[in-house]
Amino acid sequence: MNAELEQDPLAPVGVAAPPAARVPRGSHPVLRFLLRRCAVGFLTLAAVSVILFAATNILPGDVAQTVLGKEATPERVAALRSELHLNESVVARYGHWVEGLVQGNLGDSAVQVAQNAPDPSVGSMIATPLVNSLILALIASILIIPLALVLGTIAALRAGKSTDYAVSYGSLILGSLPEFVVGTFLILLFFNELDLYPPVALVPPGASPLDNPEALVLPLLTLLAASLPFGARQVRAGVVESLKEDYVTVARLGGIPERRVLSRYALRNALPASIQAFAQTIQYLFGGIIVVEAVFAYPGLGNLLTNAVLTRDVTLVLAIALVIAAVFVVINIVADLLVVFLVPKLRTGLK
Amino acid sequence: MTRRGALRVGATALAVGAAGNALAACGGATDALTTSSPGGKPKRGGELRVSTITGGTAETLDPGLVLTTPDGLRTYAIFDRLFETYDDVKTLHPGLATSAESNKDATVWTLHLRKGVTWHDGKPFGADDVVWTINAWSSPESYANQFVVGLVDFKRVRKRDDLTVEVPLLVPVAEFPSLLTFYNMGIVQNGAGKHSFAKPVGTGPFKYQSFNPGQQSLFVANRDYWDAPYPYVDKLLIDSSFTDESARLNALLSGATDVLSLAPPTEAKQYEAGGQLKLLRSQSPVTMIISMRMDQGPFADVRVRQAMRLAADRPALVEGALDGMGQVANDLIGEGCDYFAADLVRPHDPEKAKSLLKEAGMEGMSFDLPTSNAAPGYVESATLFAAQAQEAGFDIKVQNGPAATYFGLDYATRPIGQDQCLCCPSLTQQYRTFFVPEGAYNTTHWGTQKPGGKAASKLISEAVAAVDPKLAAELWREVQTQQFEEGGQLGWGTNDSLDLIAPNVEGLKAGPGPTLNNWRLLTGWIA
Repeated sequence: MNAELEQDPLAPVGVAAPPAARVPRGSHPVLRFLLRRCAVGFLTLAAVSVILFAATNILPGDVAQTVLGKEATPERVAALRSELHLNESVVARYGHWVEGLVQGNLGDSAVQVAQNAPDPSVGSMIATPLVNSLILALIASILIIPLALVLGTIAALRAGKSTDYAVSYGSLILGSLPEFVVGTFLILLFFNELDLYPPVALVPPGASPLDNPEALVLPLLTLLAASLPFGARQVRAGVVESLKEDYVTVARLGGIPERRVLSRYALRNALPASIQAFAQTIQYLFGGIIVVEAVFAYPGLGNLLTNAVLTRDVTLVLAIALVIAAVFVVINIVADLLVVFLVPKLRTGLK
Repeated sequence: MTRRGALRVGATALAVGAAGNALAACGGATDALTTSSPGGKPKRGGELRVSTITGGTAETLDPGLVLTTPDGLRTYAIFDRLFETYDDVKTLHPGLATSAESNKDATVWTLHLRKGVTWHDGKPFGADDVVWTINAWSSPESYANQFVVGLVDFKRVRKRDDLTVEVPLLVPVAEFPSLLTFYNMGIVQNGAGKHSFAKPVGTGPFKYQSFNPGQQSLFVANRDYWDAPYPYVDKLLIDSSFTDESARLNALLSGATDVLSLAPPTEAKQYEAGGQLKLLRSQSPVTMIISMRMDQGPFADVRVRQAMRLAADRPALVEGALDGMGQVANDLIGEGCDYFAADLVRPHDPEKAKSLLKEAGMEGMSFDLPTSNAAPGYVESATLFAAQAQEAGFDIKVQNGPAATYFGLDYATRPIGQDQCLCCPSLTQQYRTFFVPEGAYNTTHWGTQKPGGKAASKLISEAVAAVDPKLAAELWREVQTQQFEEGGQLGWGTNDSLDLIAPNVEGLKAGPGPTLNNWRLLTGWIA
């Protein structure tokens, strides 16, 4: 995922080595870094597209058969297959798809074409769900980042003490529960027992999810329960690492007050690692959103993806998966850039 | 080719929705077991919000392509049919046609259309629209095709005057109007093509406002509807974004939706006693079937088929696979229709089954029974039946496969499989769907068995053609006796029609049709 600042997600996070300085001089070094990261991002997406295309071709049952159901006489399946170009080779179909992508066209929903729908374009189908999912992800991220920072730092400072055990084990247990279990439990507690929050997050046509913020409480709590432990553990690892650094020891020996040691030396230097951790947490969050949307009937991308898989709507599955992959890539690039800005050593290392 | 549409609805809907949501069945039996208690005088206004398990991106507003429960709900809101069925299985209520009569041998039918009906765009409704729609059924792309192909002489269908249409048939059909009630038979406007259904214009109780497949869609009341005072509510919202049954139930419990169309038996049972939610429950003729191929393979021997039928402990299957939310069936389909042979009852007799198998030289017969969760109760009933049949000496291996492909290409050719019949108002429709050689749901291959296939087919044609009620009764009796003694369908139970509604929703009724008394949302109102 993260080509230049790669790390084992569960290992303590350190500052990565500066990227090799092979780019010609002339433009701003940070801009060149950005361009290079974007290029790598595109390569990643290209690789992802191949894997996705191959994977969707392995799914049992093609769209022609699924849509036609019992109507699937050999003649009708054949007609529909040829209409959907399913007769062509995998390579040729991949070519058509990429050709469309390059022109900014995500393709036509195979099922909609099979159903003679007037507007089968995938783009128009995923626009609103994408926005809805991003809204959920954004709010969750805004909540997770400060919480993870606080919890992770407290655990790191109290490493080996009871507070640390409470945070670490608590987050381990919470983080190991699947989203649908947490979601169901929260519904039981906050709806069936306490009757505080609605158990579904339906959005009427034309409305925004923000019009009814109460409905977002339980989905957000579920996402928090799933992703916060991961983020907090990553922050803790980063802070613990930097507390072991020589400059912290030196600062302490030099008589600098502990509070100042923490804020100026330890935490400041743990920040870049935490940013990487947050990038991963947000990516992890996106995985959770797919399940959470089904549990709370939230009209987002995950719900649409579930629909698409059930009907074997291959083009729609591909488009959604690719959009999610693109979000991952963008998050990585943004995180890398932030790290570069925060670590002078890296910035000056960019020539 | 062919007429495969009907079942596929159930099938695919199920394949699509998590808990299976069959449109499939048609209507059936008798009285409603429970109805919503009358809550005083109907009130106008408000919004009715209906939730269904998603049909995914395959959802459509084209009545000819109706595929899933959400499609059925929406097209019944927008369009009318020539005749409607509700409350019971067989009664035809006037719709866009007020009456129909035929010549003496039932080969030419005259449809008299309703006066003063207007389309949602203000144009007057008339014979041209009906001629156009019937001609659209001649295309195999329309799932209405299966019910009328080989029967209607499409080229000669003509308008006699603005409110009269003449439909000549290729063969005599005594109960022809009963074929015009099905959910694929919605009447569309003269000239409507596939692009017309982006913004469909109908004559129905609700007008189209917005629609996204697999998401929510909005309709507003048609205040010029011919069947006043319906509809009561001002707005109708149909939400088919649900992929998860418990989310849907939570939505109903929390007041985020008002109606849960097609409730799973377990949930229905939970709220049977009433209180927090109201259950609409009615018997239905939708029969759960294990279908055996008769013309070749291990089930070609009638003794093996009868042994299978005797091996089934039907009450236990209804209790175990349908949570008791169903009734025992006795292998014959079409309960609630005229001429249905309700007195033919199949005993549970494993001993006799065993001796029949022995007689056939098939003791300890072993075979695979393919199943899938394509509809509620399929996997459960297959597993339970396999255990029951052991007693009769069968060795059945249940093969659980993916729902998406269960009704795929081998649907019509496999030696054994599971199926459901539809809710149809006449034996004519049931038998033409399942038991004529060209019928796409003829999974038992009735009519091609040897010996006797040809004669059996001829008998069905004669029964379909019989105009005189006494003769029809005799012939249908003969057809059903033959089916009961030789047929390849093991129909062990019928699914009750189950819907859950919020306590403040009134006017909606239970009926034998697939859901909400055959999609009759127009009668609902908010107290």
